[in-house]
Amino acid sequence: MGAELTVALVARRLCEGAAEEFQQHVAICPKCEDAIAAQDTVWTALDDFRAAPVSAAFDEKLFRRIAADERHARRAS
Amino acid sequence: MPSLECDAELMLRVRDGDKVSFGLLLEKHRTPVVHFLWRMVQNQAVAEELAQEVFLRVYRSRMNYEPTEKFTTWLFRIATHLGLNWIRDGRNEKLHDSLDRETTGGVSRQVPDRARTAEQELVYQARLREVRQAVGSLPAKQRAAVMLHKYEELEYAQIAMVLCCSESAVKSLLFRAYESLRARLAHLAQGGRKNGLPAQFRYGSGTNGRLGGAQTV
Repeated sequence: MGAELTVALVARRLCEGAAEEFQQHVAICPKCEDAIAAQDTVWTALDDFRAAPVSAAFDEKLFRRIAADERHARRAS
Repeated sequence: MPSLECDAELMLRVRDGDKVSFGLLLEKHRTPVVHFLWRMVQNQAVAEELAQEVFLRVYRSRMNYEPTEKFTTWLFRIATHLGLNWIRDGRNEKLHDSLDRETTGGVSRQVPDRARTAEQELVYQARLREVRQAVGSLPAKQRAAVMLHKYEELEYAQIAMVLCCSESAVKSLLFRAYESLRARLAHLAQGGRKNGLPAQFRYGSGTNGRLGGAQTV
């Protein structure tokens, strides 16, 4: 349960009551405090894992594949 | 009777032959799907190729589409399946981006941020390399779970439907993955551990978690 609460708190997905209750516990629990700090490090680091923009030709290539797929399907039927 | 989600309504129109609605779905979900696959396979060209396959499969399935689940659940199930297959087939050994290469298939992957100094940019790129390697070292299913949880902000139940496993299995995947990432990325802590708990998590900070409707804990 501790791991689940830690992840949920750092991900900002705990409802207010649960967050407050957990934070009260963390205030007196060095182990949980360390766990939250460590999870926050990961969460922040993952924010840097940003992908590049999708290429401009993506849609055009997709629609060509769809058209080819449909031609193939018509020939097969 | 609950109204259909917007995506499901669009997909039903696609089923009825409306190609404009398919374009709207593509516009909305293209980037998240490509980015999800890029984080999974860490190769831009492969990610885009797989993403195209995702949308091709969505289009092919249009005649049989029924809104039995959220559209994004279905969409990311297809994407995850393709990503996991690609990783499992071991093609990443040959096509994995060299971290020293700036571009992949002519597409610039990481554009330097002009707001950073040259030194800051070096530090940032080194940090990014560490994060990429840490994520890349996760077993594929753990990687998928983290990507869906962190970037798509899916609830455990929805991740379970995407990964075709139980909620408890999802939690196990996630917590093991985060544990591995904590071990590998601990040295990236801002300002070292001297500062202890980040302020926003301290009791009484007034910045508690998101209100309501979150993961049930």
